[in-house]
Amino acid sequence: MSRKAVIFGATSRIAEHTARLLAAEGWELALVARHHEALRAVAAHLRLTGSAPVHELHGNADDMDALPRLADSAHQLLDRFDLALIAWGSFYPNPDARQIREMERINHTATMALAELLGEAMAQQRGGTLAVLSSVAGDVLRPANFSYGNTKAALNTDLRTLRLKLAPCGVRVLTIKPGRVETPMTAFAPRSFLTATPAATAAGIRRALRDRRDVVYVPGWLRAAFFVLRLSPKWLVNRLRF
Amino acid sequence: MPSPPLRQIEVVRPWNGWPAVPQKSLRVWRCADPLPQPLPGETFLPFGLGRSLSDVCLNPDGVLLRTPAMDRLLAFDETRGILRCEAGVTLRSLLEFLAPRDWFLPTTPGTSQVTVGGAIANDVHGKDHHRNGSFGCHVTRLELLRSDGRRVECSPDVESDLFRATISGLGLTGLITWAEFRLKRMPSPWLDVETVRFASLEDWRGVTQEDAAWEYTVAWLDGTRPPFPGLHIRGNFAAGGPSGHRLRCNTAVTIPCNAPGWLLQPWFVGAFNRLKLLAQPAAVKKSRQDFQNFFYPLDRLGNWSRLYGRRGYLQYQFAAPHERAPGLLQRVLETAITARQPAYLVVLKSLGPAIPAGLLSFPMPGLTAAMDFPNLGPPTLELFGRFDEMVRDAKGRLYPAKDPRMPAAMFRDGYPAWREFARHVDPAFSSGFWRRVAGHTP
Repeated sequence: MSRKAVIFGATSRIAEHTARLLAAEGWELALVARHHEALRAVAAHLRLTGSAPVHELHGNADDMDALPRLADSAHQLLDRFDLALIAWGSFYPNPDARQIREMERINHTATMALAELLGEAMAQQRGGTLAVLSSVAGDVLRPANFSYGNTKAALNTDLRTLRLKLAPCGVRVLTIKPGRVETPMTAFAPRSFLTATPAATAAGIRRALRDRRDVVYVPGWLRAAFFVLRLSPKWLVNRLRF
Repeated sequence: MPSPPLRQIEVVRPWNGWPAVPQKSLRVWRCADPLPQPLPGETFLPFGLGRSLSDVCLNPDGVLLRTPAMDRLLAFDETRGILRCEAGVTLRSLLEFLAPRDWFLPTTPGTSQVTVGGAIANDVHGKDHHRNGSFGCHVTRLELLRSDGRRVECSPDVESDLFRATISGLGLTGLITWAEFRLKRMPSPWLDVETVRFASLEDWRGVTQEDAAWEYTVAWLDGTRPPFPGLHIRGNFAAGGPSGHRLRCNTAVTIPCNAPGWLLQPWFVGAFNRLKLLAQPAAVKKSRQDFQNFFYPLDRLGNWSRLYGRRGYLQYQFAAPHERAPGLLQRVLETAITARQPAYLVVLKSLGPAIPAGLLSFPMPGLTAAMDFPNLGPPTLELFGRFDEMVRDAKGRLYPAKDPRMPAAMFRDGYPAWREFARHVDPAFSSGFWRRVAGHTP
């Protein structure tokens, strides 16, 4: 029997590439995204290259009230979640009040609300991995990530408590922290040699799903880099440009 | 108020390494996205993997629309052998999908590192042109996104004028978002190959007389010494081999950086060519080859163009009618030797009578020769100028995808349909090549 994964925000570049790796291994997938046409193209590719069914679901992180129904329909489609990946996110450089609210809603509130729902379902089946796409931006707050970094920091903290809550039920909560990845979300900023490709990031995520860490940095060396950054004195970090 | 998406600025070079141009670029992420808004005076040019050898893939002062993120397969009709995919899909990833299912590309150029959009926009041809025509001959439908926001689905029957202009349209008629094309059954992943030695160009013409039974043919010759000996290679797919073939990555070595400019000297290349000929003492050698090694021998060496050093190389590729081509080739190669700039790599292909798929399609019934020269700057350009005269006399033409210095007159003489083509060019699309050859007189 094939393993089953539900992916929220499936048209994000990182999620799409992760889904390709899973499809190639024969996973059955339920993909949730808000843009119909974009989702159709993503799903078409996965259906052709994979062997198990690929389901499409339409849902919006912005619609908080619909989240329980969304998690329910995904569960009805798959019957079981071996993996649930939440990959949606929102980013605005120099955000105004409305944009700050949107980032807070999508990156933190809706993501945590959904994580709770999925966690409950997985606790009932007594197993599975709940993976959430966060960011290194939550580790060290920078003016360039104003407010975004804060939403991810809040997300990281909440995931820690959720992990403690779900651990006794055999559910693993994985926090994924990529650096900058070349996606539409970062298209506003100049690319640098540190910018990773979505395919490489997805490969890192796939590896992380196999091993046992709670928090994974992609690429892996970012863990050491951010460890040093967090220990460094503020006056020094504030002078760094990145 | 959303700010316009940031134009990334980076130095872009075509595959041959020259010219290098600081270029603004934007990424296109999916088929369904609208075109970005051009800033005043800005033009767009779609850019896939940049494997052309000329400024057809450059747009100095304009913006490149990078397409490799449009990499999704959309539909596959296994019974009819028809595939639909986004324009940024590479032939390499197509083969990863097709080969295990015993299908193959309708025709393929000498590298798999090109996108479908690029293959259509340059109407590329392969070793089987004499049988199967160019890539554009197999395209059944495509969608074009124009700068006025229209999405035009064209095919040989619907919007056929725009379709013919887009095939071989050098990316100027708008952004190809997806395309649909016919595939070919692959009886096995192996080819039966026959390699025939020839001592001279006349000799080679004799060898080609027996080509009728072969689907894929190509000739390599030593351009450093008359009377130009070489190897004629022809292959057919072997019947009934193992199926379910999985594609391995066939890049063995990647050249990490530019080699010093003095590395490839004429004597060095001459010695290499002699060794290559000595390696096959027999007049005819029969072998069985993996299709990747047969079609994409140079893909085994990643970034091989860096061997030519920082200034890169220039390719001169012409097509000419059967009766004039061999004489023309002889004159061109001899002129190069007299000028002490022999051609390092010479590849010949015969071109069949297929009706050109596009208005600016390069192949014509006859012969095409592609010759690589190290880029020595003005002396090489001057030499190419002398070739131009000969090609024009022989009623031949040059390949836009290979020529970053083709004079406007050569283009207009070689492609009389260019005025008709110019009517289909999207007003917001342009390229360095197009501005050079078409000027401002559409």
